Amino acid sequence: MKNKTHFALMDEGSKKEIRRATLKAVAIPGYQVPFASREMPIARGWGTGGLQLTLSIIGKEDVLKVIDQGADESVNAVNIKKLVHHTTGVETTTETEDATIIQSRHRIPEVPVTEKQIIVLQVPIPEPLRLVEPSEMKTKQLHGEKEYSGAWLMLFEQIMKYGKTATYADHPVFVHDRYVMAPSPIPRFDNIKMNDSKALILLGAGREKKIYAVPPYTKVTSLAFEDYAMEVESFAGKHCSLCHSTDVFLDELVNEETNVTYYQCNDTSNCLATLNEKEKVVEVGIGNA
Amino acid sequence: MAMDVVHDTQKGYRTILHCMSRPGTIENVSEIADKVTVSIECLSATFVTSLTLLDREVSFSVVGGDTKKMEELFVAYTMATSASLKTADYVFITKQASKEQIISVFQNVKTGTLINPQQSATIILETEYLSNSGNLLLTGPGIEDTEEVSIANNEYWLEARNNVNSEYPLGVDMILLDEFAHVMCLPRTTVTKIREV
Repeated sequence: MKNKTHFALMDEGSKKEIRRATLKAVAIPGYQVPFASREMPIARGWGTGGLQLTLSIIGKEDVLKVIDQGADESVNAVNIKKLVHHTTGVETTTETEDATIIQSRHRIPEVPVTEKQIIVLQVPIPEPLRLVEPSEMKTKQLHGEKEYSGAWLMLFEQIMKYGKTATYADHPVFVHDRYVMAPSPIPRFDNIKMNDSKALILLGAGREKKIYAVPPYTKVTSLAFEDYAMEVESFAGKHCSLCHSTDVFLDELVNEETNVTYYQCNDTSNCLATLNEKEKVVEVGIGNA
Repeated sequence: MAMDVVHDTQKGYRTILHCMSRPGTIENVSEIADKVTVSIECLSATFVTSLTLLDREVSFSVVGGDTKKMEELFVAYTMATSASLKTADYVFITKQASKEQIISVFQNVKTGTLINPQQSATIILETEYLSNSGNLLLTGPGIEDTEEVSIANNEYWLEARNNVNSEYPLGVDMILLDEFAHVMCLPRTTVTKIREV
């Protein structure tokens, strides 16, 4: 016998608890609100925090997009999408513009987000001070006292070692001039998109049992020194091998047969949209000829 | 038609979430509030909010008018526990509350600690009307430039709210509801200013 699952999988009590934590997270931008992370039908570390947030906010009229490292069609993204669709019946999409909820693993879409959308980011390690302080009790105290020397020192040491800040992704940010926050491992390229974002950004860490948020139109600055600005990944002189875009985040790939390095858009739906747009222009061109 | 505890509370929550992330934005929950058939001393929108946020894990307090009946109903419907003003997670202030009672709420509610600022109360305040034209200017996270609002009788509690929120991240968050089932939120980060004439 197969029982019908409850709408959005979780029981109402669980949803309420997550909803209450989310409201507090929105009211205290960048502060990690603890919550009772539930067991999910996917393993911890595979987006359970994001999934719980999505399931707690989603309603019948929502349209869901899930991306995994920029891709709509990767196993993780497809499975989460299927799970949410099976338990809620909501429509899913790959088009950023059509989505009302965008659950994402480590990218903020290239297409500018709107005020109607909510971005849900999956977070592996929500604590930006974890590398300098292993004790949760102490990091909570450091946040309380706005004592962020550890975060600054981490960047300073990188400058001493490498001549620049060497964070790849998850470059810490300052939210509303109060809390240092891990923006989830989005590339530095995306950090700027968090500042004064039009959409509400919710971040969920299932394994670490934390929810935090960046409300729209909130000041988010990447930690940087006056003389050592945060450097965004540079793709100067490179372009996507498929759509030839230059102003997007690119993945570096190597052709195994020829050993030639080439680049491709990380955001697959944006790449496809650009290709389709170009196709249209060609068709119109042919039609007019 | 009765209120749907799954879908209507989801809609109610999304409305509150939208308003909490965009202070000054006024939304409407009349579609859900109209379904409330329970005879209760508070506004229908308040009852919707209680069903949306309360369960047995949290406590609440009611201030203003005949609170006993309301408390009993909230306990019966949500299984939340009724608590004193100083310990309640959610404080409901009804329209019947006097100025002194409202001020006393702001002076006594929990505001969280530096280590756990989320352990603070949320105040749900009933008011006569909320509108987007007025002399109260809001700024802060969630607001692009400035939001202009008008909240009935805000002079009763505005100063008390500013005092309680003066040591951010400590403070209280507010959900304001009016007779037309309008919802507006004022998280602790929102700075209020009265426009000089």
